[in-house]
Amino acid sequence: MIIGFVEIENASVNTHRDSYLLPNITVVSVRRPFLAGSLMCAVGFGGFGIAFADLLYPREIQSIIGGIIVSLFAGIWLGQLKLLSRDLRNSELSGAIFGSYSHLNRIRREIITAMRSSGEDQI
Amino acid sequence: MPFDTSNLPISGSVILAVALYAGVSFIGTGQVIAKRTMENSNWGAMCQSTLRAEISTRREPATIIPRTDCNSLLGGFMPELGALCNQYGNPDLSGGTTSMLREQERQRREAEDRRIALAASQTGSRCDCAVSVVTQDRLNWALFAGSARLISPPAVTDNLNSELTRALNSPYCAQR
Repeated sequence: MIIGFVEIENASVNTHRDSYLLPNITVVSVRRPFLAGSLMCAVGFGGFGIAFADLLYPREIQSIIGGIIVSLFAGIWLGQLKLLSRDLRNSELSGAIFGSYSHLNRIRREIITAMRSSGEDQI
Repeated sequence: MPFDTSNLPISGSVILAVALYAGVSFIGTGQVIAKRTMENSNWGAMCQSTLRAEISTRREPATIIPRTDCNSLLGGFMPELGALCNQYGNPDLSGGTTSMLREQERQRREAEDRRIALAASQTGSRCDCAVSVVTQDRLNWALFAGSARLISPPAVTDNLNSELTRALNSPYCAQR
């Protein structure tokens, strides 16, 4: 699942907002941008739950555990596809698409395959 | 130009998570821990009993009104005269003055009892006021809750009872 839209054509990648020419793209990167944050939240709220277990009601402890699980799942699941080139350095265009990490990784490999084949065509 | 978090030594999501956690500690968890800590410290019951005892000490001493009936005045010296007094209905030799004073004293005591009962019934709101004032120290409670007891500001741990007592005696709560 991705939030938005990505389509790979012969010599370009089209997203819901932008189109990128394949020869101009130098790096295609997929990261988990919220993993560190979700880990911090999980550690923080986990520590809070353990330290104050004597003062919290069982349903509150259950909510904290549920929140930690959701936070960790979201941090691991959510990915961001970045299309980088020298032209896009420090530009907001370099942060392209959010979605499931595995799906975006699949798209990354498809883009690389398309870039290779477009490079071979030029040769 | 939009603020670019990619140039920072830590990622934007970490900053976001820290801000979120601090906000939740400041607004939510810190306040919950403050209320539960004070509930568990038995402060409410202790505060109410202290205030009731304090109110009781404010009771004015009873006025001593001497007995002026015939038997009391004369019977102490000569029991025969006391018996004679009883035969004639033990009349009040003050002409009704002590009866009037005794009635006034009874009414004063009743009014005082009502005042004390009212003051005692309002002790709960004074104690709640003190709890509310101490809970307003959001930063210290947020530090205590957010750090999972690793940071323990004295105002919310060791000195909690003295802070509550100070709040209780502050003009803000004393008027309740």
